Amino acid sequence: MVEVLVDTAVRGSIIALLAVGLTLIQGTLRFANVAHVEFATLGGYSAVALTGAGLGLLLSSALGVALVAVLAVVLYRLLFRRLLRSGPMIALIGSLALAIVIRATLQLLYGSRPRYLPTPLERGIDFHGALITPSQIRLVCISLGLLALLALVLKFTSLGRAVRAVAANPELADVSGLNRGRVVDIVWMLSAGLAAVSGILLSIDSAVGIELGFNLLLPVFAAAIVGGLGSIAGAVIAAYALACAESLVLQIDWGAIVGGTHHLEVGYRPAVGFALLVVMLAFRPQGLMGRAVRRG
Amino acid sequence: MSIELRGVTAGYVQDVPVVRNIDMHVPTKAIATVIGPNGSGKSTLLRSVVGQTPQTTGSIVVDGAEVRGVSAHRRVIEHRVAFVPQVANVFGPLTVMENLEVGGARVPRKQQRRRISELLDTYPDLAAKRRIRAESLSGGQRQLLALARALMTSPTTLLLDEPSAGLSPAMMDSMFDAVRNTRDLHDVTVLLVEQNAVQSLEISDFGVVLVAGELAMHGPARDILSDPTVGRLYLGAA
Repeated sequence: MVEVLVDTAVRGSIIALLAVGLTLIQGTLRFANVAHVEFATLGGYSAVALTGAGLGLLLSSALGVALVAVLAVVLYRLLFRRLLRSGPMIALIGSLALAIVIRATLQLLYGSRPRYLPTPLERGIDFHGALITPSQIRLVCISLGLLALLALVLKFTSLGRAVRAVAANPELADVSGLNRGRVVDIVWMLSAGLAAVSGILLSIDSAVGIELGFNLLLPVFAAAIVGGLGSIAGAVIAAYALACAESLVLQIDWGAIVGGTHHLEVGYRPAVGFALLVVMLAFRPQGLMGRAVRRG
Repeated sequence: MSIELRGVTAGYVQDVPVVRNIDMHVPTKAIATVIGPNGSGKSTLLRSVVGQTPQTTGSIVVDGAEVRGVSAHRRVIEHRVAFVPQVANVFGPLTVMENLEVGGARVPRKQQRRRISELLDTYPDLAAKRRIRAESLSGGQRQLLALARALMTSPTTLLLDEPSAGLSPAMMDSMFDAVRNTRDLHDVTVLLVEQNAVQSLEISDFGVVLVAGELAMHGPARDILSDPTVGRLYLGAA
């Protein structure tokens, strides 16, 4: 059981950081950015490139996050802002294309073998029978700290109120004197920055490969949709719930049903996300904390 | 603080104007009501003044400054134009206080606090509900909040799109009183669009009749109220 908790904390934190960014973009621009998870991959590779250039891990990570955040704003201004004029579906297809281009470019530059950040080998700590490494503890603490900070910023600062106002009613935000373009730029920076942090934390914990982001696409979308697109709290709760469900499914001995001792292979993990997504869309399409769509 | 439109043509789609060649003038601190049948372009006219509908030709001058080509948020901040849309005119998930804070987001902090305090004194109904989400307010309270939110920037020009829509008769009276008091207390020029034409013209100095996107009549409100054709077609007179 403790193993499930540890697994939930680690994987849930990564999914939450990404799902929150995805839901912020969805909330302010009403479009699902498929390329969002690639910002995690870019974060990991940026840190690899910068440490390879001789910079320390901490500085490389900070610079990597900043680079990805700036790149996201550039991509929004040059690409997504134009695509969104033709509608959210066109922007979604464009983001799918961009995701493929990013992965292909990274493969061209770095090849398909995983890359490792220069971190010392770590001994796992026995936590009530489950092993957890110091990097995983850092991963969970940093993620929770950033999520809490984001929640405080959104709730108590004028920037947070502006973001929530733009998400609630973009046209009214314009005639309230808010500079919507600037607010959206900041949302892209925040979202991509959080994604980059998740990519770097994951790379420190294991390795970075071109599929790092793509492998998280389904759970991240599942968490954002199950939580209620546009709801930060919903995305975080759904991310940890999804990670817990994934872990439980892998830990359960299915032998009672199929006979003998039978544990599912890790490859079945994405099925949990799919199942949760289907159930939620069928019975509560607005998600855990989303609002039912009303017309008029 | 005056509003002047010269030959304004505006619409949502290129080459499909909704309002055409509008010339009108609303003097400083006056209230002007735009009336006309459904689809005559009343709301479009208002939206073109605040910059939410593309203007293809003509000139819009607010307080002596041409605002053509200026974005909506800059018209609000730099030209002190405030706009209250007919629907979706509050930030539903935000509290009453947060709505006011967003309305005054570009106002210095100290001034913002003072302004909120003044407005909550003016509208005690809102003061009692300051921690409540705007989506939980009644129709009348929402309209008051929308008006208060618009006043946060201390505008000199206030544009109201059907402020009495969906209100009970008693609330309608309060709303028209609030509009008149707003002009008197805050020294603003008011341009409003109303279906409830008689009541609106009664508190107005000027009236504008718009038919099929074109200006049919423009003059003192009492002249419009007493015009038999306007009365028969748009004011419900026998």
